[in-house]
Amino acid sequence: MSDKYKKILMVLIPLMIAIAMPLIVTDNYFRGIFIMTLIYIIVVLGLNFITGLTGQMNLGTAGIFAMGSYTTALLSTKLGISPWLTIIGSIIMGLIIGVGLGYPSLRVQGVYLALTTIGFGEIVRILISNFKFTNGIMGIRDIPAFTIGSFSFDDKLARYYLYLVFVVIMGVVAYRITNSKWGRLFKAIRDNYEAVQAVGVDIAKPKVLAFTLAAIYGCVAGSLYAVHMEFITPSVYTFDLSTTFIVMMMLGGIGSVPGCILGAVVCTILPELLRDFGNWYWIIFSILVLLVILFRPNGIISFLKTRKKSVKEGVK
Amino acid sequence: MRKVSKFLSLGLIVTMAVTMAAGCGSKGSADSEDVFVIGGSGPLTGDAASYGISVKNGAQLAVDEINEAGGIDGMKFELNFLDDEAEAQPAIAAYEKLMDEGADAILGAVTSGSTIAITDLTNEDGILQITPSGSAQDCTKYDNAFRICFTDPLQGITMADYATATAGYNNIAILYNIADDYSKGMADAFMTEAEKKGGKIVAEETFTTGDVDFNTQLTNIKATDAEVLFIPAYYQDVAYILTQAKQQGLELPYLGGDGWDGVLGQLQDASVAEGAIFLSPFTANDPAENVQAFVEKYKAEFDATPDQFAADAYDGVYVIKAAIEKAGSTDSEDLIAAMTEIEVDGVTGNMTFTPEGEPNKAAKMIKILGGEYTLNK
Repeated sequence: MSDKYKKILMVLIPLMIAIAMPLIVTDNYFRGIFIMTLIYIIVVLGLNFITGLTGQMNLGTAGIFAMGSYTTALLSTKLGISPWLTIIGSIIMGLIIGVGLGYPSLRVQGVYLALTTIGFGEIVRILISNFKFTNGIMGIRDIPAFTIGSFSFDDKLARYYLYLVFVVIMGVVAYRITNSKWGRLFKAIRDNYEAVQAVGVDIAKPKVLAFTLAAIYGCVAGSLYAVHMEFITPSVYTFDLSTTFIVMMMLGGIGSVPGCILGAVVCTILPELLRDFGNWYWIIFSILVLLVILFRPNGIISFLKTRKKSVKEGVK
Repeated sequence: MRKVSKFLSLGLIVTMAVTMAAGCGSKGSADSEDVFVIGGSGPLTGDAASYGISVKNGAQLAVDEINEAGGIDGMKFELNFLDDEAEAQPAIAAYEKLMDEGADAILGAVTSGSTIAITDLTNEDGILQITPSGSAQDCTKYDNAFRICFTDPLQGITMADYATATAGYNNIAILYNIADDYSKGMADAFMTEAEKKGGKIVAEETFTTGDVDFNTQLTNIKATDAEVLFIPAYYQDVAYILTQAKQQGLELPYLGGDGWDGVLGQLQDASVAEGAIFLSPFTANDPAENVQAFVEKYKAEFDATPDQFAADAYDGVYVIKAAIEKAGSTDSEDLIAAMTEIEVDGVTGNMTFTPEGEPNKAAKMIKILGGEYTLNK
């Protein structure tokens, strides 16, 4: 089978599974988890730009996610703006965060950048916990659903397919960027920062762009989360959530779009299925994650990647 | 080695895939004619697990008692209790799972945040929801939602009345968690009521979730002429505060809310809490006959002393039973309507319910004496 057909199948099969899944599994409980999986896929696709491709450790993704959620929640509940339009608001918020975090990131690297992003996430959580207009720790409720005319996406099945459309669009965009000149530049910065600088490439622009893309994706996902939950509270957007996003990316395959999708799917659905083990479920899940990272450092996705023939084998 | 690693990795992936596929099957509903399923959710893992476990145990004890006595005209009770990690998102997932598995009434959630997260859903589904311990005002926002415990504001008001009118304190200091709805809700109501009653808040100090060093706040309180310190917080925080207050030589009487229940188990030196008074719907040392019977059964079953969470849940199940008996039906609409017409003599007191979902029952003041919780006469 030619590589072209293989690539098409690699996209079509998961897409067919995604379309069929909520029709096979009709429980509202699992449909809710599938929706959460789609939301997390978008976040991790965004995180992949900055951490997976550019190699900048971002541990403040929960803060970005929160900003998206609260933008939608506040605009729709306080100002009565349509949830569709609040997504545009979230994209603008993502641009602001991206530039706001991106430029300071040029001055710090490694552990210092990680600490800066942790600080950002915590500042966001503390602010939304204490501001009156965000309703503080009590959170915001009665966030309206997406509607088209008289049709409302408050049914889980309809919402799932709507969110799947978002994932497909944002997944395609992420894949195209990853394989574009920008994607190659991101990877070059990750692999040899000094060499890129030495050949006279301005690394400021790609680093800020990576942060901005991550922030836009995170904010859009936050918007979708707020609409899905109908109720948001600051206690959700913790440092734990940021680390969960990192684990999703690493488990699936760092730097890989299909890997991010796979990582988000496994890390969202598997813990739910292990819940019956009570206190043991995190231990079991963590052991599985550790084993995958130990034996497959490139993530689960590395199973699906065919090993390229070496030069020696080619000559033979 | 490479082959071994490949096989191991492949095995892992297969394990994950099989687990995921197996788990996604739809479970059959437990909704048979002669079984009434009470769906519950609360934290069974994580920092707040002790509350959820107590609620689950208390509810299970009541369910077992009712079933041993023959149920309601032969109809047995069943408890399906799931973990919600005291977070909104898992609480919603747990609620949806409970409904998928055929819950007829909801006993939950345990914490306010989780309870608020599911109230919109329970209201949409029109199912009776009783939270044993969700004390935030919004937990009973809808007509289908009721609670067994007191609200945060009511606790604050009750303690303010006690501090000013009963105990006669004029200068009051308060230390509360600004990042916690329970603590802040009680603190706000307390301060408003205390000032109404002629009390003066001479120090208003705050902390946030996860703080373990309270020396700065305690130093500020010590510098005032406060006669009493009100700490509306959970027992884990209270234990740190009382220990550090003693180290600082701060010798004030303490007042608290029902979150104090369990503080003695956290303290290495119980004397730091000596004389403290807190409001609670329940104490295991209450000499009342029904309370002692409950305590003995609970100890025998779970090898632990029941706390207010267990007591609230135990009463919650009996409230559902009373509603079914009053309604003569298990239909949700009938049960909700019956809630305002029932009277239950529970271990947390004799209670009726208002149309707003609040319990009418007497508050109990608990005093810590000699390392024991005692009823403050």
